[in-house]
Amino acid sequence: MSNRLQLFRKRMSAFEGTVDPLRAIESGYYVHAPGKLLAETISTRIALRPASSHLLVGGIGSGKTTQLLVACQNIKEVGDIYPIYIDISLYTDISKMKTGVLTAIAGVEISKLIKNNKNQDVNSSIDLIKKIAFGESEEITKEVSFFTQKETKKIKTEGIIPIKTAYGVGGDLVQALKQVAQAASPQYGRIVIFFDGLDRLDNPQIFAQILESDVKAISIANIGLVLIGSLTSLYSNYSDTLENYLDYFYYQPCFDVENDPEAYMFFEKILKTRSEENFIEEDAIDLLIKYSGGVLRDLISLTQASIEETYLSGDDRLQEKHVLTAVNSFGKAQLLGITDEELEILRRTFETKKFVPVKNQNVKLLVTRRILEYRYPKTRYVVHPAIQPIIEQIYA
Amino acid sequence: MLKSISIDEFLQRIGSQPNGNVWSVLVVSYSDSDELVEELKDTISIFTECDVGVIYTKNEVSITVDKIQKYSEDYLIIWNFEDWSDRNWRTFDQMRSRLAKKRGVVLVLSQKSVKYMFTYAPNIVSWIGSRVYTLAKDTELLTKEERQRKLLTLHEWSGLSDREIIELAELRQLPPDPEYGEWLVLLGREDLIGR
Repeated sequence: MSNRLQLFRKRMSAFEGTVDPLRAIESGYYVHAPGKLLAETISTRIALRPASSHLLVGGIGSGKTTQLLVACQNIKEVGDIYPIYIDISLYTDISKMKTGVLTAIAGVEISKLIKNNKNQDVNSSIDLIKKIAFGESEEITKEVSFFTQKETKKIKTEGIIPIKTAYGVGGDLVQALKQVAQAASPQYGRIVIFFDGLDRLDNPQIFAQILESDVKAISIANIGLVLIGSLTSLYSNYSDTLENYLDYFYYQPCFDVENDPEAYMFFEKILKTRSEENFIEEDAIDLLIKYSGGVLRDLISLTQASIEETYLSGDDRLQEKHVLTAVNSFGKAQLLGITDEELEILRRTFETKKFVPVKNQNVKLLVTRRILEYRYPKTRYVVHPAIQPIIEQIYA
Repeated sequence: MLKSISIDEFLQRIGSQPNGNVWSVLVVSYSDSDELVEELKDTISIFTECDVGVIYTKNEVSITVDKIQKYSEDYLIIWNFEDWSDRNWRTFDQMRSRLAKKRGVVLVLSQKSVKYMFTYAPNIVSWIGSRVYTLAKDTELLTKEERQRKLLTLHEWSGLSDREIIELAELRQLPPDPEYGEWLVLLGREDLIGR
C-alpha cells in the first residue's frame, strides 16, 4: 500500500464518528468541554449522594454517551461506589421497552456480582429476578385419561424482557433488587447504574412511565441511577415528568460555536488533538467548526469527509475547498426525506430566526438536527449551518 | 440533488477509508441493485483488502441485525430495503449499537428507501453524515489529464509500467494492494480485478 494512502487512512481513523466513544476516550481523543463538565457534575453529585437519580437529555451526536462514560470512570475512582454501565439496546429490544424492564436488568446485573453467594434468601431473590426477567420453563404432569395415563408438558412463562402487559414494577421484584444490592454492598459498596441508549426510545409516553415506575423502584432499592433521554421526551406532553421523578436533570444543547468563544476553542482543540500539526489549514478549521453547527458528531463526520476529499484531490493539506465540498454533500444528504411543509419551516426559520418547538413536525426537525438549539446565553434556534446554503439555493 | 459519482470514484472513496465501521449509502433504482451488488462485492474486496459479505434483507429487522453481527466478513453490502416500513427503520435505528463492523458497510437503497431511512433512522443517518451518493452511470471520474497524473503517481510508486500491470493481473500475480485495483480501473481493465 502506498505511503499516501496509509497516511490518509490514519488521518481519517482519528475522526471516526461511529466508533465506540470508549475507544475514543482510550485513544486520548477526549477533550474537556468548556465550563463545568456535565460528567463532573454528575459524578460529584453521585459521590455525595450515591442513591440519587440523574437524567441527561440531549440531541443526537451531542456527546451524551461520552459524558456518561466519563462520569462512570470518575465514579470508579471514588472507591466505595461501584458503577455499572449498560447499553440498553444491547440488552433488549428498545421498541418493546415497558415499565419494569430497567428494574429487572438492574437486578440481573447486580446478581452477576454475587453469583457465588451462599445466603438462601439472597439466592431466592436472584432466582426471582431471573424468573421475572427471562421467564421460566417448568414441567407439568397431568392425567389425560381415566386410566391414569399421564402427559408431561413443558410450560414456558414469558419473562419481563420484553415485558408483555404489566404496568408498574411488582413489589416482589423491588424487594429482590433491594436484597441483591444489599448483598453486593460489602464487597462493591454502593451501586450506581448508568443506563445508556434510552434516548433511542421515541415514545415519550413509555419513557415517562419508565421514569415514574422504574426510577422509583431502583431508588427504593438504594441504587443510584443515571439515564440518557431523547429530545423528543423534552418537548413532549410528558416533559414535566422528566424533572418530577428524578433528583437531577441535565440538558446538553448544541455548542454555540458562533457566539461562545469557549465552545469555539473546545471544537478547535478537538480538531488539533486528532490531527497532525499543519495538516488542516487554519481557514479550513474555521469552516469545519462553523459548519458543524456545534454538533460534536457532525464536526467529526465533516472533518473525516473533508480528509477524504483531500485524498481524492491529490492535495497534501486539508483546505477550505475540501471542507466546502464535504459540507455540500452533507447538507444535501440531510434534506433527504424532508416534506415540503418541513422545508418551508426551515426556510422560515432561516429567514426570520424564529422557531417554536411545539408541534411534532417542529420537534422532528430538532431531533433530526436540521434545526439546532443553543442556550448561550439564551435559547435560540437556527437551521443547521450545513443545510443553510442548500435552502438558499432552493429558494433563490 | 445528491452527490452523483461514478462507480470508480465510489470505489476510490471506499479504498481511502480506514478500519472503523464506516457506513456509506449508494442510491440506485431497485431494478439495478442486483447487478450493482454483484459488481461491488468483488471490487470492494480489492479496494478494502478484506472479505465482503452480502445481506439481502427480508422484512424482519432482527434477522438482518443478527446477520450483521454474525457474518465474519469485515465489510458488508446490505440491500433490498424496499419493503421496510417506518417501524422497521425505527427498530433498526434503535439497534444501532449492535451494528458495528470492523471495516464498514454499504447500504444499497432506492430513492424510496433512502427517504424512509432519513426520516425514521436519525441515529444511523448521523453515522452516515455526507456519505450518500447516487450512482452516475457511464460517467468518467477523471479528466484525461487527471487520469494521466494518477497513472504517473502509480508508475513512480511501483516502478512498473501499465503493460506490466496488465500482464501481472492476467497471470494472477498482482499483489492485493488497493492501488493495483485503482490502476486497473484507470486503464479500463476492471475485468481483471479479482483475478
